[in-house]
Amino acid sequence: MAPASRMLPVVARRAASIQSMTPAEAQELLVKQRSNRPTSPHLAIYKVQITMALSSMHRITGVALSASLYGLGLSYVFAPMLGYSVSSTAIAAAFGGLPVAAKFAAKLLAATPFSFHAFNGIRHLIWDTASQLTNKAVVQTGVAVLGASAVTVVGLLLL
Amino acid sequence: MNTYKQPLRALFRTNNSLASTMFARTLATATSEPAAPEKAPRIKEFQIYRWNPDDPSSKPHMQTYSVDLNACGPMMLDALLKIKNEQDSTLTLRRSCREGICGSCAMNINGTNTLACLCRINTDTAQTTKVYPLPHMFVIKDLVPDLTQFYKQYKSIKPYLQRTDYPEDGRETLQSIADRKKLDGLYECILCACCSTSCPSYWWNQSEYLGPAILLQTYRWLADSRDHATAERKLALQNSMSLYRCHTIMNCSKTCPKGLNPGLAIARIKKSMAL
Repeated sequence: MAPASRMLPVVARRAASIQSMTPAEAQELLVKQRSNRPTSPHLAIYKVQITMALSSMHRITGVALSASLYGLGLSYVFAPMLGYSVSSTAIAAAFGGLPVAAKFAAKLLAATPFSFHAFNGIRHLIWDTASQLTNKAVVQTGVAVLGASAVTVVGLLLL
Repeated sequence: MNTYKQPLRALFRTNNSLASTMFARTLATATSEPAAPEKAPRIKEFQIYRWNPDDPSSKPHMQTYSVDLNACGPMMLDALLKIKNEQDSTLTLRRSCREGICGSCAMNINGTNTLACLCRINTDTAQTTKVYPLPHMFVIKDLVPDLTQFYKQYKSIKPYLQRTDYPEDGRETLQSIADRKKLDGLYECILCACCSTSCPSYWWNQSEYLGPAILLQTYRWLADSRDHATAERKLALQNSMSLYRCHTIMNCSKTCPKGLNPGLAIARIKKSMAL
């Protein structure tokens, strides 16, 4: 019986040029190609979703809160050397002299990151127990954090 | 009687050109029947990321293709292969099974990572569908990312059963039905890399952070009652980068085309490491 290869007609032949290479040459070519490869687009093209949006807000508010804490603490220590005072009395007096709009703006600026970071921190603590980590629960707790933060911010603004 | 055999006989009688047409259509995966003449064409625009390694000085760019949805299958992979077959054979992408089990056609479609074969075409022709390769990966060509690092990371977690001893009778290592159930939702992962490349932590720390897909697999072996290497596996994660770059962003679980939950698996690893 004839072998299968002899029975089958050749239908198409691909005209591809093949270069034989030693493993070392192949590796060299690969390294050369790799050095040219672009990185595919990421943050700019990825759909903004509640998952990554709240995560980046948590990071940003955390950085802002830490910076203000360290900033205030350090200025309390060092301001007297420059002839200023950053005591609570001095801050309260300076704040009291502001127009109402500026007072609300300052309160909003402090209350928003604080409230959000505190509530989202609780969300993270719940996650650390490996619960509320379904897609549905992640959205629900995220919306709950945003709602609780909004209410708290309004409360702090009215203080 | 035997009427169902008629088309089959017709098929055997056909000449080569018809046979090759049919072969081409098989490759085109589920190209639907030609549209009825009264149907108005539904022209949909696709913008696809292009980059050619043979022209390394050129910048990556988006190329627009138009496809009549009446003459195209329902899935994104159908559209991409239709474009490749009929409009531009240089368009390069990975694909194999066209049913969501091989993980080859993972890419970023309309902003989220998914498998092209499991993703329906958005039939709103007013909207352009954008297709990118998996985010923050080195691009080999067009929609083909370099997954070398991803596979190396998979290898690094020793994704196989490690035991100190095997049953005396030389048969398989048994586990209870309850223990086997613990692997559900873990073993189904096809390593398509959609989750890892959706993770901002993985974008910025790819060289050291293992990423959700590989950590899901790490948990798959930690959760296996037959595995004896739990302590070693945990020890390998006991550093600031491998596991703890996960900040519970949860893009991974949101994007998984298989409906798995890598974020939960990572949380369980962290919990088991802490307690």
